[in-house]
Amino acid sequence: MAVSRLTVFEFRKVSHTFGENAGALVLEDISFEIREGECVGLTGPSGCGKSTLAQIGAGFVTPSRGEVLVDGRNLTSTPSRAVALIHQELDLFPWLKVEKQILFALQKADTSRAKELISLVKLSGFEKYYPNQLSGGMKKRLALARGLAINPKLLILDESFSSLDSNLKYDLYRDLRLIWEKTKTTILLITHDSKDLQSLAHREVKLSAGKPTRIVEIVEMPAL
Amino acid sequence: MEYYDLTTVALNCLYSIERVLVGVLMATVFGISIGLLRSMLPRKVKGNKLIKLLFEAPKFPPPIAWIPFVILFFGIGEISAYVIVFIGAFSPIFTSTYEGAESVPMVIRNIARGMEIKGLRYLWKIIFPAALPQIFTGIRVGVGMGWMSVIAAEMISGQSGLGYSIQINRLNMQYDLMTVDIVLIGLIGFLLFETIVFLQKKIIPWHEVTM
Ligand SMILES: Nc1ncnc2c1ncn2[C@@H]1O[C@H](COP(=O)(O)OP(=O)(O)OP(=O)(O)O)[C@@H](O)[C@H]1O
Ligand SMILES: [Mg+2]
Repeated sequence: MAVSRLTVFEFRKVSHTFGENAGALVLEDISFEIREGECVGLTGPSGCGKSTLAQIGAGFVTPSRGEVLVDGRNLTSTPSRAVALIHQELDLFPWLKVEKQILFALQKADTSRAKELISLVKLSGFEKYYPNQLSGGMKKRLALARGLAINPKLLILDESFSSLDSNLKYDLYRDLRLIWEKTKTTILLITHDSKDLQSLAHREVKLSAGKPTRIVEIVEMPAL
Repeated sequence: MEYYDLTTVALNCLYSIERVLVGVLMATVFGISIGLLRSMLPRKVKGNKLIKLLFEAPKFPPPIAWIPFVILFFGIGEISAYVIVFIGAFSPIFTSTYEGAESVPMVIRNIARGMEIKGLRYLWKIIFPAALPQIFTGIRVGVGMGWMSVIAAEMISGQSGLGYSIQINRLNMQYDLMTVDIVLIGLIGFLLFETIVFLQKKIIPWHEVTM
């Protein structure tokens, strides 16, 4: 499937150390671009710094060095609607029911758009449920719908489905693929398991095992 | 039992209940507002020991210790009763609101920041609902503190209410009637507590409790 040549997102020479002086270098010199409509996989062993990079990408963590560019604008340590992150942990607002959760994320409260998104992630019928009344998989779907509701330039999914049992996980990846085909959202998909990326990602950015973590290689995946 | 007709008992109960409700309501409004605003202070100000002292030290003198000053400023009457209840209920509500606001998980804050929610909207739409479970804990404790405070205030300077009734019965050495008062104070305290639990379940059904 054709992907535009237009770069929407870029990590430029990002390095990160936790703690001011003596801290250990976690990420070193990470640079890669993501093109409009592309789904890029980011893989690496547990603890190598994937979530840290995701947080840097979303502007929540200020990298020790380097920049985050969105549409050419420097958005380093600037959270905005341009980048939406679905955290590895549960990050739903527990006080908002499914429908409200989506309406809240939309720029303008638009009930029919909320309906669309809810049905896109197969949560129709659960509009009046609180997150704690949903199953683990449903919560992930809701987080996905909420991320799409933000209508970001880049949607980062950090190990979104890893905590689920493998059947459910592959169902969700298949749905994600269908959703991507419909919405053409630009995605950075983070996982420790390259297998998750099959028939989903255009490219895979492989990170090394750490101390510090670097990019090992960037592989083009078989055409979707 | 000539002095203790049912009407007097009922009126004394109602007086005390009215005082605690007004005082706790005021304490809830101010405790939540000030607690939330405190959490919005810049990190440097929040961490300042002197600022901490200013917020923390006034919690320690018990409501009963304030009674002479309150009477001095507000005289003997309803206003003083409300103020004493307020003093008793404010601290737990204020403290739990502040602590609730401070312990909102980072992922929740991040998502809100990513949606570009800022300022008062951030306080009202994110921090406040996220802190509600702890705020309710504060109100439950606060209503109990307020209830104890109003009884103490009525014993010292009341003209009515269950605390006043205890004092009168003490002077008349009617220990059986005093016992009735004590039991009523316990029962009403329990009902107040249960009312807050009921409200909590109505207002934040998404927060599971087994109370
Ligand atoms: N706030 C922090 N302070 C100090 N060190 C941190 C902090 N957050 C993460 N780290 C460290 O940075 C490293 C990378 O953590 P990170 O969560 O980014 O890894 P990850 O690749 O997402 O791991 P996983 O696959 O298990 O999710 C780890 O060694 C971790 O201990
Ligand atoms: Mg991680």
